[in-house]
Amino acid sequence: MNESKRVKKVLVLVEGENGKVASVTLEVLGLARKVADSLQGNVCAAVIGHEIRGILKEIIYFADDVYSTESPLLADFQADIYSSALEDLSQEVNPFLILMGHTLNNRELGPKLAYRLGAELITDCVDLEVDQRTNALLCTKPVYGGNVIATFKVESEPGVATVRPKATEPIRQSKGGGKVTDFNPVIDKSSVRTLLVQRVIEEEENASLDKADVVVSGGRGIKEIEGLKELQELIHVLKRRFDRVELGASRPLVDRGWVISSRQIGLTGEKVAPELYIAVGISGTSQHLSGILRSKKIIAINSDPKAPIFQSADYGVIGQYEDVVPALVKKLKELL
Amino acid sequence: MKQLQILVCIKQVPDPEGPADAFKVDAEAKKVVHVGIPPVINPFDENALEAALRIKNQFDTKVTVLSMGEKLAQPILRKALAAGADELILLEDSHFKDLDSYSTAYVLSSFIRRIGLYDLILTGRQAGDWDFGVTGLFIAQMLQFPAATLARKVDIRGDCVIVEKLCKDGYEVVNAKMPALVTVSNEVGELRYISVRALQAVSKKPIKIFNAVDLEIDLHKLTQRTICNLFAFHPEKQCKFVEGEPSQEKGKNLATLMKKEGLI
Repeated sequence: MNESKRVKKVLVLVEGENGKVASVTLEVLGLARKVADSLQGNVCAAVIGHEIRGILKEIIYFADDVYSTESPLLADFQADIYSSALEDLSQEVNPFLILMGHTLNNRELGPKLAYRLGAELITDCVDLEVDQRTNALLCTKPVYGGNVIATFKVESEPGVATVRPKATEPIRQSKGGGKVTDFNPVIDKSSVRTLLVQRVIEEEENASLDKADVVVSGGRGIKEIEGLKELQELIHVLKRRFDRVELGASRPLVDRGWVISSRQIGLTGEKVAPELYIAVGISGTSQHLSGILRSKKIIAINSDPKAPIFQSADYGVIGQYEDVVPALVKKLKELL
Repeated sequence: MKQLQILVCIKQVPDPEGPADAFKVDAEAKKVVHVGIPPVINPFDENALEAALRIKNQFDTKVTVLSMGEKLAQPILRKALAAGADELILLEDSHFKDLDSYSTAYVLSSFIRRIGLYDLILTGRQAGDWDFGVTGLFIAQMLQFPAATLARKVDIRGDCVIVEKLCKDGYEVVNAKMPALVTVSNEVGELRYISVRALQAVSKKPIKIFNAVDLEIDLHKLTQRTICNLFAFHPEKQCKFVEGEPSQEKGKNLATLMKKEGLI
């Protein structure tokens, strides 16, 4: 086929969340559409898994072509199998770019897939663009813990990129008319070289920090585990006004084992975008700020007036949290 | 049981915990310039080393530490020996400058293949400079080793490595037959305390150094990423400070302000 006439395709790996399209996938689709539009191309969606009907029904409104790979063997995420299936699909679809969310699973899948395809891979992107002159893909990602922003040119076709959650707006337009094609690659269980022994859920209720209206986070400044009780009190009173108020933490509290990993916010943890983010005893390393930059309003409570968190906060209180938070809670009880 | 051979790959990076204004950009040269912060071992690689040393506490183990670069700061990397690693090996060559993940994995795996005796390879989950998180998995692919990522715990049982890997809302326990590669996350725990005395004791310990010729590296395969733009990012909001004395009063005033500003 004439290379210049071939329609450029952006292939998105769709992830599910409680039987629906995950919010991160909607964000990835937003960028996919942007890239596809600047190349007059198409957005293709790959849905891989078991019992994916609900996801397929929803995804057709956002993608031009949908590829459905359904099998009981795909019920659990296995990077080896998923990357093999996507490699086969990539050979079928011949995309310009393969996109997926920068989730825990895809931190493993992305590199495995890129290696199989001999493709360039840029992880944790916050923006994607097409160079108008050369039609090359430009991927922007924070580096050096978020202190520097770099834009990389991707030379390979396909390129592979993972997209940081909560960095971009979810797709809005509903194009409709997406056509679903079954794609059935050979699934070779023996290619899985790590055996899943057990899955441990540390918290029964899904924390879903990414969907919280308010996040109250503690950091290194919380000296005693009892200090978390003050934060819980604050969360409790804020629940009078907001539906979803969640506890978060910066890395030191996770390293001390006081807060579970899935509540860590920052570069290597969750990304949040609440109406209100309250940082208590958090100094504000660039790594932590990476996770909270899209919060609408940030309140910082810290005893150190030089703490960098104040440069990213809308409101600041310089003081010991042991004094400030109980007084805040007391007054909020009157006001709410 | 024969001695277990663990290789820990460590990278020298400018201290990622350094203050934000220490990271500057030379936009012309498209390079990050760091001012006034020392190089350190990438913190996640320190976690990987700690995981190796804990295994060494339980089993007869030799821990080898491997680092690659154009010019490495030996005193910084010797910290690994002081912590309890048995051997430090450097892959140093002017061609090993600013390599992309693929080329880095190619050089490291070329060394590993030549030695060929490692049961377990540990790397940090990602490096504190470019934050790609790719090299470890590429090494595993090149060597065709099974790989487990984002470990919060690493144990050995017989000829298998048992890994608790992070997943949404918890963790998965996975099991892989060695030789295998594991990328390690901070949940494993910080590298043990190192005394000045321990650092002095290893300051003269011999270090093996190999270059591209020793490793028979095909220089044509060494590539760098194409950076087309680079800028320093320092958010500067106008923070409205809540006044009051003593601190309890500030807490009260914050609540009032939240109401006034329509936050609640």
